[in-house]
Amino acid sequence: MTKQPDPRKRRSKAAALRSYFRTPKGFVLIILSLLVLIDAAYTADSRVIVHAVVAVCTAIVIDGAIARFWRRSRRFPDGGVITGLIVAGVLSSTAAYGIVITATAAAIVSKHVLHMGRKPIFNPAAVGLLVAIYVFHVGESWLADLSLLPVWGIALLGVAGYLVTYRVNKFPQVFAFFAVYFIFFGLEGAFHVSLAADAFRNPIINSAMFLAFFMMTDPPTSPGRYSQQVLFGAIAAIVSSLVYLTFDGLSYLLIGLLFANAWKAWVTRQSRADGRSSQSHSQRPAT
Amino acid sequence: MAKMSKQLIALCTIALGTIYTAGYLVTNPADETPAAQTTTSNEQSPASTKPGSSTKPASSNQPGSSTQSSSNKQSSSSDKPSSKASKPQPKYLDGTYYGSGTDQIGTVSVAVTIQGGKIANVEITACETHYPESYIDPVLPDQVVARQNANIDYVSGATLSSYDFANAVQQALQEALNPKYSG
Repeated sequence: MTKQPDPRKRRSKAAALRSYFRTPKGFVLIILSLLVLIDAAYTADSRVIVHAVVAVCTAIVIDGAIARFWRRSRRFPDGGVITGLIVAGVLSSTAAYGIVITATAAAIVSKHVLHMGRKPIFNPAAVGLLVAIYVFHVGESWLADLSLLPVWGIALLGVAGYLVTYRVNKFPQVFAFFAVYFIFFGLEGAFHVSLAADAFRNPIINSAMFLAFFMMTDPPTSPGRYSQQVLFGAIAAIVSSLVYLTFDGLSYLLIGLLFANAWKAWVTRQSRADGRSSQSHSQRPAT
Repeated sequence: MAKMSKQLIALCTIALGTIYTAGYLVTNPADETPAAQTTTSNEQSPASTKPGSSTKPASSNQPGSSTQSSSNKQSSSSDKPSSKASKPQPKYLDGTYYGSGTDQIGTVSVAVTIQGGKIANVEITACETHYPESYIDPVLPDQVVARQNANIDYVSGATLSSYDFANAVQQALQEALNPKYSG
């Protein structure tokens, strides 16, 4: 007689899965997967899906192995999966599989090597992408930002971005980023800087939205306090805009994000140092 | 930490929308470059609607409607009278002709050299897009020389750059057309 699966266990698994997808990480995972699928369906090009599968598998293997043997954790590496999806969604769709694997591996390794406490300093996907761009000279497509879709694509991206930003409670930094970005390029445009016009239009605005909503809002690498969020968004926008106008290209957003990440790490370190010194002052016996 | 209220989010969104609209209008290329008024949108661009179709030829392009009209003729043998009236006229007149294609990602400019009535060389003189020129160079110029027309295969992953290139070549070839060519 074959053993029937317990329906209660099946229900509890489904409930656990549902509750996972309600968490910020689970929600971002669904949204990023949907963006990749929508782009592939609309453009009838499955390469971005193949890249996503390659990147996600790489992330699961490397992140899972590091977590298991180094940190002694057996949790499913969902953070690595998100990183893999971002890498696949941004890298050129013509990039070789080896480049996708290397970029994802660099992203995951950077998360475990460049950290402060238990949190990574830099956005892992941004690190991996910059390694691919500057070491292997591979291009970027930013297909996950739906820039190849008609105007409803950008509306969809905006709605998805708002939902994610609301979940992770990062609206101040997203608003600050866009306010500085729009004002900066609006002023440049007033002085007839031709590149400024592109910043307001597809596909450049799509990539800025993708970065602000899905990469900049990564909780471990961005601040929690609202006042710091505003500065974080402003720094990312200022550095991105300056790099954009100076060097053109497409990696300006990633560079801006890494600068903001570094600032956040510096602020965290300062506040920890201040906390330690005030603690030691209070514990010092009176002479 | 308490979340931003939905009213405040809505207010900030409206404020951002206003700043964006102002910036969009201030930087409207139509104010400065009239030719850019007719730049293609995603819906209009055959290249961008089917970016995966790497074998799609560009024969249906109407470059005149979507590209900057910057083509000009540097040197041409069109003034030379034909010594033999019965000799079939070449499709293109010898010389170097220029064209450019523009869309939302930027501009690609080309120089097309005609020798002996045939396309002898195509050079990308400027690739002012946000994507590397290496995506389309030398594969697309070589295709034009091999096929003797602007019907290129779009490069997958660089469809908009391919579209700009095809429009630029088509524009240069329009300039090079021999008015006496009967087909």
